[in-house]
Amino acid sequence: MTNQSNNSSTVFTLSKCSAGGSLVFFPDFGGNVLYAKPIVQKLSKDINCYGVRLAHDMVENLDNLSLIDTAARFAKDIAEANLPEPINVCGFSFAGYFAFETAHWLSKSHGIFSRLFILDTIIRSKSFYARLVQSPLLEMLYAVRFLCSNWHHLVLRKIDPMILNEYGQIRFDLSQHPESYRHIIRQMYRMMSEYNPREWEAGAAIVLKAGQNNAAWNYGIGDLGWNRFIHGPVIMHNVPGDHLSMLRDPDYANVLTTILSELLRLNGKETGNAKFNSSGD
Amino acid sequence: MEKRREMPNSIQAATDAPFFNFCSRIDRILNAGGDQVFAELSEGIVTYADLLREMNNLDTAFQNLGLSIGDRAAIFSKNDRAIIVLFLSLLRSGLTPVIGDGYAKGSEFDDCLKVCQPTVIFADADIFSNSTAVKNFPSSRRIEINTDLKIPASRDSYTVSELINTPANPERQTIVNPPETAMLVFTSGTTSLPKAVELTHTNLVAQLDIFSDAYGFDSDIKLLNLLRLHHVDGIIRGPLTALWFGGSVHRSIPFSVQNVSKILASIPEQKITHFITVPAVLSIVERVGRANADAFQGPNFKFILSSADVLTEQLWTRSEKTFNVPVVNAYGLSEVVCDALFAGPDDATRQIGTLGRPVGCHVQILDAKGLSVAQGEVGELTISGPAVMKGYFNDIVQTDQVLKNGKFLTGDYARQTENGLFQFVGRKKTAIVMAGVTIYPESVTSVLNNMPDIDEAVVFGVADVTRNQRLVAALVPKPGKKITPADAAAFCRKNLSAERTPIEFRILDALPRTASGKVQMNELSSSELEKKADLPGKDVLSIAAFCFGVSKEHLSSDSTPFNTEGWDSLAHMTLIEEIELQFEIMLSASQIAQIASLGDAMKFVEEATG
Repeated sequence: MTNQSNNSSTVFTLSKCSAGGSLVFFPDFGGNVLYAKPIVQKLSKDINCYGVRLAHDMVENLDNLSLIDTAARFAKDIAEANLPEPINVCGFSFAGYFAFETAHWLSKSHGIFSRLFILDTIIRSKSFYARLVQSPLLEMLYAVRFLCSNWHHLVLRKIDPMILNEYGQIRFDLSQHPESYRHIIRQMYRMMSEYNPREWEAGAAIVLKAGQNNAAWNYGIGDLGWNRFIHGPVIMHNVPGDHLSMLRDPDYANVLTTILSELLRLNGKETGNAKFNSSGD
Repeated sequence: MEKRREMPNSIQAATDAPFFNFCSRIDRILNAGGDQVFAELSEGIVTYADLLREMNNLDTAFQNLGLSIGDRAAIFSKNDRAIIVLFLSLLRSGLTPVIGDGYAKGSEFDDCLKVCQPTVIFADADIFSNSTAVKNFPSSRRIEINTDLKIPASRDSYTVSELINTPANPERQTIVNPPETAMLVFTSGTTSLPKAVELTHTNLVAQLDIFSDAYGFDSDIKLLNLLRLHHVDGIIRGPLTALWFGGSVHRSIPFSVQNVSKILASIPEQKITHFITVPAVLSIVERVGRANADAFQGPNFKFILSSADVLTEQLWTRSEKTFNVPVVNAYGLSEVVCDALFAGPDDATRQIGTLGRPVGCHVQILDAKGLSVAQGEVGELTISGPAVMKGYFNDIVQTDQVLKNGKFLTGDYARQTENGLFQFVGRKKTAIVMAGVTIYPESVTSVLNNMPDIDEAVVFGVADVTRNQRLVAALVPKPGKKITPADAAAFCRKNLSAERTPIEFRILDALPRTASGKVQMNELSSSELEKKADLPGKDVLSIAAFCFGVSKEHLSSDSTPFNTEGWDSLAHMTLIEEIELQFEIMLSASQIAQIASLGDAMKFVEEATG
């Protein structure tokens, strides 16, 4: 694995091929792009695959970086790396936020058009009232469950340093991760909970949504919330499996990769004018 | 001594109490049996006439010993004949038999006594001599099981031979207050002490009726049952069933690998109708007995019955193919006497990979809140009906944990298929949560059993510092074959998702098993076996090979997650932990973020260790 530019670059090569085009993956909570393994292994002959990681200087300063700042750095490094065009950016779950903000920066600050692929990332308002209006029953249920899970912390002020659970965010148990990972995860979690996405008027995205997630996971939001922030077309595709198994289960991952491969072949062509197509693939 | 026998002699009171109904049928069968063979044992043949005479003699002997209705009598012996005759006699005389392992060591024997608190103990001499607890027990209530007719030096002590030869009173005593409890059965507990399942006469009759409905048992049955008699699989499905239906039980050749061909050859000779076994024994019989594949082809033989443990699809299919005979899979636990669900013998329910359908009981699959789950969803299997135990003897706390609203919570996860049959998913106590994902090890075991060159596999969880638990596979290669952890990991990668792939593979000569053939999970997860596992050498490539389950030769500094088998997100965490553990270093967050190849890991280890 070789860095695309110097040691401080965040971009590194996952696979090289003679065909044109780049597919760039963004880091997850653990700071790596291992989730992309089934995709890279299948598409490595058709497209150049790259990963983005936190550079040394970024980790040292991670406490002071916001998700949008971090994405700005990723966009800068991608622009400087002169990756084969067209450029496609992709992120799964939390990494979908990085993909979205980086695509936005590439367009806004570097004049680079990239196609954005979001793999089962949901984006919701931070405001409790806005969320309550949107899904009253589910939000109330969530609030009750949150109180039950966190009453030790909320009432007795007994903080479990191994548990990350901000209101409106997923619950994360750090005890299941090596100690050395925890600093990165804590900071990535903070970035996520403080993150307020910017609206992107010229943006467009293809969202691959896990078809077997239950309604509570998606809060009944068919487009996973992306139409609020992306004013161009948001194309939805259902893929088999739930949030975790869509990439972990070899059969599900194979289907997802096949769909992604087909979509990448449409590169540069219009994929549809529908603002939101919930009919799946 | 809760209830007293009433004198004088008279016929037994006519009543509808389950005990009397139970005894009434047994007496009828005993009296009608005559010279018909009841049991063919390694100690010789027992006819119904022999059995009736000995049971009558023992009934009188129990009275002479001053035993009262409901008194508990412990039996610990290696002598099948003594166990069977004592057990049936105690049941019929209104006493409560509790059979322990005749091979129990001193402390195990003492623990069993603590739990069942017997009034009288029948045991082999060596068991008495190795016990410390028994020294405080009155000598008149310690009855030594021997086969000779030795007269003891003191009249304070007796032998079973003496008791069996006690002349019976011509008329049996009247029992006014019949006992409710029929027997106690030891089962493994979550603490060091075993639990004793308390079964009533109603439970036993319900189970025997279920056998009639499910298996079609009648007086023609000749049961080949070589299972140990201190388990319900041996004693209930063997001698008691034979007596209840007026058939016979056959256990003249003790089970061993060397005896398999002799045992199979005896099946047509003895006109056996049913071979009652457990998966561990069936596996050996299938493998070693292929030369006698026609053993079950006689006109009398009906089916093989497997129970007491998970019958894998592979073993089920192989056995039916090898012996060209139906294999019935029954599901149950001691808490419901023996069997509650039956896959077979009819073709509609004998669906390989299922537990079949319930007979004589009601089955529900419940979620954690006690609500029924939808068809196809996984939940805990619960059983209600007349065969469900009274409880655990003298243990209200453990009883309340498993008996709720008349339902017995089995602790096993199952789902119902579209055609109404039930499927086993895993055991509640073996389900593990690894890196946040719930995994049923049995489902992984089932896949590994399909691996070529694997004779047996079992997968289980062990404690893990960071993941909470990690999945470990113990594998036994087929005789003459060799497998490596890398082979097993490669097979898992092809057939299992990353999260269900065991972290560690232990290659063993044999799986440790209990007397009844169940795998001893405590033994498997012991530190001794852990020490035998192939641990990595102190270099990054060796550590990575161990973590990814691949051969070290396939790795280099250029290895990345994207060109290396087995390097997924879970294995990545294992790699970091193992590197830190082996080199006694702590990688920084910055280094963690930069590790994208083994070359990166090597560089950081070098920096940290100087």
